[in-house]
Amino acid sequence: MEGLVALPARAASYTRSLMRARPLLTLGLSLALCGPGLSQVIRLAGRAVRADDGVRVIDSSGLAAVGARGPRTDYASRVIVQFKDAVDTAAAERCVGLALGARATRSAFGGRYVVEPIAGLDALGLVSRFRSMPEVEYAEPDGVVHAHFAPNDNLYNLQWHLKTIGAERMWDIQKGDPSVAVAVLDTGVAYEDFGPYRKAPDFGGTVFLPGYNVFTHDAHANDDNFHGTHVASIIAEATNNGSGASGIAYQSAIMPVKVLDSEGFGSNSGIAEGVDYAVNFRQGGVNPVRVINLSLGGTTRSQALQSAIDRAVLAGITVVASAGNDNTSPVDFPAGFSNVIAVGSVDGRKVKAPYSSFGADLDLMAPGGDNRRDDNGDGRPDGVLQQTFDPDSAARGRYDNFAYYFVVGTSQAAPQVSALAALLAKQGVRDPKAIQALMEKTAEEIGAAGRDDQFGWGLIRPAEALKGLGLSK
Amino acid sequence: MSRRGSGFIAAVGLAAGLAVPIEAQAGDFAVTFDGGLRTMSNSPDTEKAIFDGKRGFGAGLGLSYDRGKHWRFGVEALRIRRHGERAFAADRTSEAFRLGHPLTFTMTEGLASVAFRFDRIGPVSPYIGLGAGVVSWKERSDIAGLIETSSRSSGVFEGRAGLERQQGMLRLGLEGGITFAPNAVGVGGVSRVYEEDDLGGLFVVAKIGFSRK
Repeated sequence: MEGLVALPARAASYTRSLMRARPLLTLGLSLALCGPGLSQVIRLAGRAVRADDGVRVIDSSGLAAVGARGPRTDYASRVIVQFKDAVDTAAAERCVGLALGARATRSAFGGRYVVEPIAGLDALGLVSRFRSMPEVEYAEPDGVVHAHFAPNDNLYNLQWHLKTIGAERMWDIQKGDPSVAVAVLDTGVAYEDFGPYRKAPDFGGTVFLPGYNVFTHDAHANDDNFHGTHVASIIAEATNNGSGASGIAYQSAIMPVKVLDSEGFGSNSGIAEGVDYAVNFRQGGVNPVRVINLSLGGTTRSQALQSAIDRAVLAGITVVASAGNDNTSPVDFPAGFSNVIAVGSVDGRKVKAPYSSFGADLDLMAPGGDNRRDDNGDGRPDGVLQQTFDPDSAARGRYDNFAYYFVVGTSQAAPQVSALAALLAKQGVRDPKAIQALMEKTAEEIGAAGRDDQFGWGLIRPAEALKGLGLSK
Repeated sequence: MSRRGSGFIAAVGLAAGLAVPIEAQAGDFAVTFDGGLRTMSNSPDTEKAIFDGKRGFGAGLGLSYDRGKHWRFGVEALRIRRHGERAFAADRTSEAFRLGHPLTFTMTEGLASVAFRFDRIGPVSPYIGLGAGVVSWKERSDIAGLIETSSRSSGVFEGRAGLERQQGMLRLGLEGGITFAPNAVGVGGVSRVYEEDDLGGLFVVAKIGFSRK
């Protein structure tokens, strides 16, 4: 099952039919490769989100940069000292000297001082000295605080999946880098103006590598379905640009590879061809592709595809695939291959989505949503909101009717894991096995303790994964 | 150990060294401070993952008492600070990847020791010794501006051998040995992945002491 709810990007009013469901062949990706079933198109009328729909934004980009590089001042080495009311300034400053404070700054609002210790004395030592003085009411190490980065994209507050995975803390640590690319093997991506195809409006700042189309054997991997553009947007939609939605690894590069046709169908041979393209790509003598996202699947085990994926993993590329949308076990292939990270889907409650396939090969979960629910109470269905274009228009040959869509499925969960893999690669973890282990060890257990067939190792926690491990914690 | 910290301990040691002989009786007491390389070689994979092979520098201060010709008893305090990065390894056989988040690991040891001094060989006296005490460690990570800390204490044991030369009040020495701090770490972090729990390792330090004779 795959559902859509459209939020027009530009139109102030959007008056298509409300909650209209019907069989949809143009969304046949999961039909073709994940087994039988009906997909749904669900459109929401009269609930268009506009830049002026009441949301006001403060640009926090400068604060984000501060958070990423760490404080210039060593705040943690300082001490806060509150002197008792009866202690005058001269006495307080005498105490600072006796405690071996090198420099003290008095608060403009009373007897509170910030004191820096002399060389060789740390903050705890200075605190200890102050606490032994009868003039002191309290003394404590000064703490470090920093601004939390929250993007100013006007639809960010509707992207519940980003809150579920703790994206703001994640962005404090890592936002990706163009030197690390995710190959999106899908229906293509709306990444260039070419013929009837148009670049999606919120890919303005996104870096794209040369693409590949396995059907036409050329570099134009344009999306003629909708699915690949939505998946690529989950990973790297332009973020903090004041409009649209946010992407997880938005400073990473995307390599569009078209392996599925306009109806979402493809073949194992075509996917193997796309994997080989991503593996053999070179730019300046190096291959920036560190992750391959496969939001697709089928029930046929293919030696050709397994071999191609083996080559990718051997080349240091992490391969991520969606588990499937049939609520069956086992998960589809290629998710079922041992060296592929198989991703299932949870809803806004962190409960397994009703469509999410499961089994012994399931590795991790990410929010894929459930359009029948509104667990965060924002008045919107709980799908994953990103940009793509209208699939109905696409079926008529128009690929420029861009909008923001709530889409549900393991196809939406997998790219979140791929994006995290790209962030981890940029952070310094270069081995696919280590990337998978790091995500698994830091996952939030939402099922049985340890690994289980319904949730794998649990829900990804990007910020925890990006922290890595200390010596003993 | 930072330069500031080393300098501070050295200054305290020097001051104490100058002061104690005046108060000590018959030259039996001495104050010593030492500095040198300290490794975590008992947990080599953890050390390599976090500190990337960089050795640690430690500085210590001790008070000793010589009983008779051969026996020396002492108490010592030692501080070691090492700078590394947070890391990750998939399992105990895997390569570690460093994630760039600065990590500072500080150990403070308190030891009681006993040493046996052999007869002089030329100008130097060889000695061997054992120590036991407590090590307290603190780990501090800076992850994009947020500080995470953890700390713990455990027992520490030490075996050592060295050469010492006495020149009037001045006592110079070179000492090597190994420290064991079992079960100090290993409950989490990289040390758990590598199944290593010992913070100890080989060390080489230079010593300078002050006594009455």
